[in-house]
Amino acid sequence: MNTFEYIRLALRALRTNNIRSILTMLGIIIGVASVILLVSIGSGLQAFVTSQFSSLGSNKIFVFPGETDLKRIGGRPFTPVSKFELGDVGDILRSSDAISEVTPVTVQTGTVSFRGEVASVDVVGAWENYFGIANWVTQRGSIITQNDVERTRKVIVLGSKPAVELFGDTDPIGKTVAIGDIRYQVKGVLVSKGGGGALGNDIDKRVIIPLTTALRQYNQSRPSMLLVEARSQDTVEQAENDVRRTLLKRLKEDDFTILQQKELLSTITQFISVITVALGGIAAISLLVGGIGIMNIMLVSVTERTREIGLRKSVGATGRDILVQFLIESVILSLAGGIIGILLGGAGSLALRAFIQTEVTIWSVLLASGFSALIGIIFGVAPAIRASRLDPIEALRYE
Amino acid sequence: MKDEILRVANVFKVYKMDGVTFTALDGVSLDVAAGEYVAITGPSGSGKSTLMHIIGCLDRPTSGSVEVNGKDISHASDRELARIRNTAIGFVFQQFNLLRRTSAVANVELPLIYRGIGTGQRREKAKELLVSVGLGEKLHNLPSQLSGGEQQRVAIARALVTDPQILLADEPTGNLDSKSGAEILSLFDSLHNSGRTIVVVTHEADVARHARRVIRIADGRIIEDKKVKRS
Repeated sequence: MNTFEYIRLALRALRTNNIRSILTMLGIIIGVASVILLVSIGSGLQAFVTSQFSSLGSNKIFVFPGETDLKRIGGRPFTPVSKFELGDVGDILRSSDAISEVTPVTVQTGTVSFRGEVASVDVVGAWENYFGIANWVTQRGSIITQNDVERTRKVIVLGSKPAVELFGDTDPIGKTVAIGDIRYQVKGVLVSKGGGGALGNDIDKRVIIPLTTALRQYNQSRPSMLLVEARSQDTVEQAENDVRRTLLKRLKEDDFTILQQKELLSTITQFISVITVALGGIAAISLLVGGIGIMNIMLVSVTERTREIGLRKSVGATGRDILVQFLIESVILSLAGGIIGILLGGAGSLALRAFIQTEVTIWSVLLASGFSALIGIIFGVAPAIRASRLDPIEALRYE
Repeated sequence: MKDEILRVANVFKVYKMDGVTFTALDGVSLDVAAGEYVAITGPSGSGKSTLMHIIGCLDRPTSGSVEVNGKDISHASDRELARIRNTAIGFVFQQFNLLRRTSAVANVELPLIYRGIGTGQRREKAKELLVSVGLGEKLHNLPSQLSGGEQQRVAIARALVTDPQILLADEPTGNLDSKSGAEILSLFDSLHNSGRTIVVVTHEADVARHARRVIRIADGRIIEDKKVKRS
C-alpha cells in the first residue's frame, strides 16, 4: 500500500467525522496561531527598535549619568542623578580629534496641549546641533537655532506624532501650545522616523525645546545626558575612550556610563528576544494541550472503529497498515491545524499592523509547522499502536 | 488425484485463562479439495468458530499443522498471515461487516487496497463483482441504503474480489430473513457450480443442506464427515 493510498484513507475517515475533526484541529490551530502572532509581535518590536536606533547612525555615543546596567532587566537607565555640567561639552570636544560633535540633552516625560487636545510626549531640551547629530529634519518650519538657545526662547519643534494629535490637518507653525502652564510657539514639525509602534519608546512622540528653556521649565541646572558624535565609525572606540578620560578628570567612574549606539541596541534587542521567546514558549504550551486533544480523539476513534480495524485485518491489512493509517490521520489533523493556525496567526499579525509593527518570521512559521507535525506523530503513536495490535478475532466480535 | 487446497492435520487449540486450560480443538484433521462445498456444523462452543478462525488465518493452532494452498501457516508471522488472508481467503461474516458511510463499490474494493492495486483497476474489478452478485444498479449505495440480503451480497462480492482459493462464510444467513437467506444460499450454489471452494460454518441445518459435504464438530472433535449427494 503506498503513501498516497494511506492519505486518501485518512482523509476519508476524517471527513466522515467532520465536526469532530475540526474541533480537534482547533486546539492546534489556536496554539500555532498564538505562537505565530506573539512571535511576530516580538520580532516586530525588535525590528522597530533596530530601525529607530539605526536612524541615529552607528557613530553615536550616549553618556548616561550613574552606573547604568542595561543588562539588568528592569533597570532604569535614566533615574540616577546627573552630575554632568554644560562645561563638559566643551572639555570633551577639545579633548579629542575623534569627536566631531557633543551636545547636552535633557529628557522629561510630559504633555503638550493645544485648545483642549493633549498629547503625551518626551520633552527634549537640546542645542541647535542636536538636530544634526540625531538626524532630525523638519518637514515644516525650522529647527531650534543657537539664538533660541542663548535667549531662552519659548519655541518648540513638534515630533510628527504630537503634531498630528494636536493639530490634525491644520498647519501648526506659529500656533501656541502649552507644556504645563508655560506657552511655546511652534517653530517646526519633524519628519517622522517611522516604525509606527505603540509599544516601547516611540521616538516620533517627542517635542524639542531649547535646552536653556527646558532647564528653566523643569528647574534644573544639569543636562540629563550627553550625546557624542564620532567623526566616523572607525573612531568610535577612540572617541569613547576620550570621553571617559575627560569625564574622569572631574567625575568618578560610577557617575556616568558610556554606551555606543550598537551596544545600546544589542542590549535592548537581547531583552526583547528574551520576552519573545518567553511569549512563544507560553503559546507553545497551548500547542501541547492541542496535541493531547488529538491523542484523546484518536483513542476514541480507535475504540469506535474496532470492528472496522478487525475487518481490515481480516481482508489482509497488516498491523503496519493499520498503524500507518491511524498515524497519518493524526498527522493530517495536526498538520492541517498547523497550516490553518499559521494562516490565522499571519492574518492576525497583519491586522495588528494597524496598531503596532509586527513581523511574521520564517523561523516561527517553520518551527510552528514542524512542531505541529511532530505533535501529530508523538500524540498519534500511542493510539495507532493500540489500533495495530488489536486482535482481529476480538475486534470483529466487538459490539 | 485431488487438488487439496486446505489441509488441517491433528490441530489442537488450547486456551489458558487464569490457570484454567480449555481445549477448543482437540486433534482436528480435515482436507478440503478445490471446488468442494463444505459445511462445518456443530452446537455453540463446539469449536467450530475456532476452527474457522484457524482456517481463515486469523489465528494459529497451538499444535498441529495447517496448510492453505500448499503453505504451512502454523508458524507464519502476522505479516504472512495478513498476506494469506488477503490472497487466499475471502471472508463472509454473519454481521456483514461493511464500512458504514462507504459506498458498496468502495467496500468491495477494500481488500484490493491492501494488495496495492491502483484505483482504476480496483474500481473496475469491484464493479464487475457487484454486477455478478446482482447489485449492478446499486454500486454507489451506502450500506444503510441496502437491505440485509443486499448487504450480504456486497460482502460476498468483497470476499470474491481478490479471487481467493477459499470462500469462508461464518453463519452467512444468521442475520437474514428466510427469503434473503435463501437468495444468499442460491448464490453460494451458483458459485459452487462455477468451481469455487466454499467452507460455511453454521449451526443451521438448512444452510448445511446446501453443502456437498457436512462436517460435524462436538467438543473440539470431528464426529462426522460425510459427503451428501444432492437431488
